Amino acid sequence: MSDPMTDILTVENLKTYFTVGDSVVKAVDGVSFSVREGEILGVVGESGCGKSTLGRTLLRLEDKAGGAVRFHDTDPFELNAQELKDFRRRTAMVFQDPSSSLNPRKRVDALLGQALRVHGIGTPAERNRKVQDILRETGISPEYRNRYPHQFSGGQKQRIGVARALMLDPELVVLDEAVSALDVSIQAQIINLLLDLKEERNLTYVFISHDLSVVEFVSDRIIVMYLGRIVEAAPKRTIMEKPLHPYTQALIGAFPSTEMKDRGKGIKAIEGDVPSPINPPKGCHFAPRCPFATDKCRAHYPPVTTTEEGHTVACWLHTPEGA
Amino acid sequence: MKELREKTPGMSQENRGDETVPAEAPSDLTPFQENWIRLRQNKAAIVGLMIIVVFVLVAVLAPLIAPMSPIEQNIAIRKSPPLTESHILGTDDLGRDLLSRIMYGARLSMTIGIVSVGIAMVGGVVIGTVSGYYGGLIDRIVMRFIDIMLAFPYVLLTIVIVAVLGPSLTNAMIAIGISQLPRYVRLVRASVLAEKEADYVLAERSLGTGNLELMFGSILPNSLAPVIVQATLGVGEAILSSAALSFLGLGAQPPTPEWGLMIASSREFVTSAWWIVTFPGIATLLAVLGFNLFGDGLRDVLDPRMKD
Amino acid sequence: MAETLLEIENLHVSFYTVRGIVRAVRGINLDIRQGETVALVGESGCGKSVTAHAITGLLPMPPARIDAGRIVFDGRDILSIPPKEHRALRGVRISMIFQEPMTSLNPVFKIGDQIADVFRFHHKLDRKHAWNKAVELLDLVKIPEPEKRAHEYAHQLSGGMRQRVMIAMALASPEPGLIIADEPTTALDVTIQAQILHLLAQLQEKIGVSVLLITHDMGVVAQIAHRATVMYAGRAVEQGSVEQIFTAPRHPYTKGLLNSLPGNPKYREARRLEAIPGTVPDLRTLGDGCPFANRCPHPGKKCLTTFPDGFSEGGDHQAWCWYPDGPPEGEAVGADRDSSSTAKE
Repeated sequence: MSDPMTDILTVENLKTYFTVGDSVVKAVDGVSFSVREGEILGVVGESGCGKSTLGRTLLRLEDKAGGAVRFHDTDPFELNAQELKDFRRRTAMVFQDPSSSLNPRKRVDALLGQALRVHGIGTPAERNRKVQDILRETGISPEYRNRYPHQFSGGQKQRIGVARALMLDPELVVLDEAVSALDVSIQAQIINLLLDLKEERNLTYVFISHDLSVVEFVSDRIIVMYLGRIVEAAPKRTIMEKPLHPYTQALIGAFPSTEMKDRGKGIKAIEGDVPSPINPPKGCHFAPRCPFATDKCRAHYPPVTTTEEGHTVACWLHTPEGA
Repeated sequence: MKELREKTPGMSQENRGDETVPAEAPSDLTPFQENWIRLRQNKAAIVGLMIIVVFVLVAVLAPLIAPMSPIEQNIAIRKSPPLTESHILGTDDLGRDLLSRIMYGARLSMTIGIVSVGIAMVGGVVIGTVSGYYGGLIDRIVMRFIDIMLAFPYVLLTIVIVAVLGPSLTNAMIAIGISQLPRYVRLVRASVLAEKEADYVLAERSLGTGNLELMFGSILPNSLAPVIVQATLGVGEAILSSAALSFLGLGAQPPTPEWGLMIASSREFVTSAWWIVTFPGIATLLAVLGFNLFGDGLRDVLDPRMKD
Repeated sequence: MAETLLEIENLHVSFYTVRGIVRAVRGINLDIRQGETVALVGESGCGKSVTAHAITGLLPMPPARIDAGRIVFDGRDILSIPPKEHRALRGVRISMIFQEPMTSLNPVFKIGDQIADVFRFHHKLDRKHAWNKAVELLDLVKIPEPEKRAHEYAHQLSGGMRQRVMIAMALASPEPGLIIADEPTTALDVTIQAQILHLLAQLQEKIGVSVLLITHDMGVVAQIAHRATVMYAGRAVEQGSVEQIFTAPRHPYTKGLLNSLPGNPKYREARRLEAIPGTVPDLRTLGDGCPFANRCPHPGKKCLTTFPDGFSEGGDHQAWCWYPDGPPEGEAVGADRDSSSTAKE
């Protein structure tokens, strides 16, 4: 599956566990995928599916419990301090909440210049110039670089967050719900900005979101997560038009469409609650809510099947032997 | 603006931004200035601040404005009541001018307050930050140690330390500083524990920022609010503690015009020459009051829950 | 046609703050009929929540002040009745469902008790009967094993469950007239949101309660609202049936909002979205012109100085725009528009 020539990121059976009191939360429980250079991989799922934890683990901002991550053939978990710093220079993250992802006590130019300073890049004057360039590039007038984060609107703060991520000219950017906290009209602006920047700078994105419509628009390929595991992965068009996993189908069906023609049909809702990762069900994690679940589903977790090129699904219904 | 209306690919770089001044955050003020404006509205806090300013000025300018030497004795006019010629507040039992002694005493009290609290704050903040940031074993050991220190009654602890070091004003300041240190550790540690999980810390870490800079450059500045409040209140408490230590003979030694010492050595004159005891007492009270009022006002302003 | 339950006439609400007067709601007219769901939709700061709070009397006054207008409910202007009477309406005829059910449910009481309390207080039922009614309601809102769940506490329930409890409480009032749902599903996962919306629609059919839905989510509006009012910077900019607004939007903001949704089918093969540029102007420095002028794709000179009169598109469909199709040649705002924008800094 992984093509060493163009894959910028490979993930194999990655696990991230947390201990909460006496229990173990298996936030990410065996996830494998790869990201090609220059593509946008969308990661979608509801709360508790582990997508945010996955994003952080990819950049070694969380400790892994098992499995491997490879960024251009280096494993970020095997690096020493200096190598890790280098890894940090080539990767970046954009966070969800613009109000808490910018240090409230730092002015914008200090916030942005920090990345350069920490890596010893450029003289103060050069850094200053770069800060101004990046601000312009992300749509903030450089004359506001002396301001504090609270003096900006939510959309502007998020632009600053994006600017910060780009300061070191990274190759890979993980966007963790980067537009979810924004008003719809601002969200559209930022989505456009992110797409423009990606093309201009030749970036690779891992785009994490619970909002399927945003993920669908933005991504080249999509992986769907449920309770710490990937239930389906495919190129965007394939997964949106021919979703195989019942959860993917439910997710797509649940999305409130603005099309008037869909109105009279009633909202397709599946029963049951989003489960907690502390106590995952035995067998297929989705079985308790799945309209097609069989005893086999409830007893054994399904293997991953590859149907067409690039379309994988973890569901008994799509295995040769059936459910 | 016509370019913006293109229906096809995104916005060109010049027009992609929103250049308008943000709607939500109109002020051009720094967080400091904003806090100052809010503080101004608290009358009690301003009164406290003015008292502090007066005492600081008196302390700094004492050599210039004190009418006489604080230690020059004039037995002839000893125990003169207030409003005696050239002795507004009277003289003490050795004929020394009370006003001058109180003014010079202000220098000592301010010094004590600042040095003690300085020791406690700097030490406490460093220990608390490191302990809170790293957590784990370091944190557990440090906190047990702090718990032990806090188990001692505060006054007892200061007395013990001074007794060990030897009675002097300097040692009194050290003792007070050490005794106050644990509370700063706890305060900062609590703030750090909360702040270190914030997104902005994660963001800075993701850019390669090292632990040291994260601790002291990013997290600490956001954790200082309760520390500052405690420091202003602590100055008042340090002044009182020093007075108590001097009272017990463990702090300043005669003829130093330290307020506590002045009160202690004049106990016997309470009925015969009440002013020798009373005026240093009032000075102490006012100084502590000033710091307390200001500190309370600061707490109201810096408590993030009260922000819009 | 069903009778009118609530009518808002020319409502003006302002907040008098240290930093200036925020004109949060400017001249809203709205009516809600029996058994229908009306949506107030807009982005943050548009004034939709403030309007809702004015109805329930939950506005903090000061700093808020109702500058003008009437809200007629059950034949009375509830803005001019004494606060005690206004309070009496709350929980009886008008109930609210909030976005964060965790903070609106009492954490130290069982949920069964909290619902039962409504019956004991308002319906004057005794303990046992009140509890049974509570369990009935929990069943009505499709909470599985309601007898068992009634003994649980808020923190033991998921977000979706808690929201169902909130709905149950809203329905517990003796004569449920109006439920005001303020972003009821925003904090929920999409599959749970679908369940809650489904439930709300079902209950409305069954019981005939009216719902005022406050939301920023156009999809939710499309799914369960009958009529909607689009708000921007304190003003109503478009109003009508949901079919009308979604199939034939007339106000440039409504169009822009619908265009901002990546799920819009027009974007199937598109590389970028048609985003509305700029940001909402400061509500304290707004003049009398159209607040959307600085972001509008085709503003006219008149738009900068005077807020448009509404024009009717047919039936109930109204839009407040001078030039919904763009101004004529001579009236367009030229390239020097930035300096003449209504949003002053």
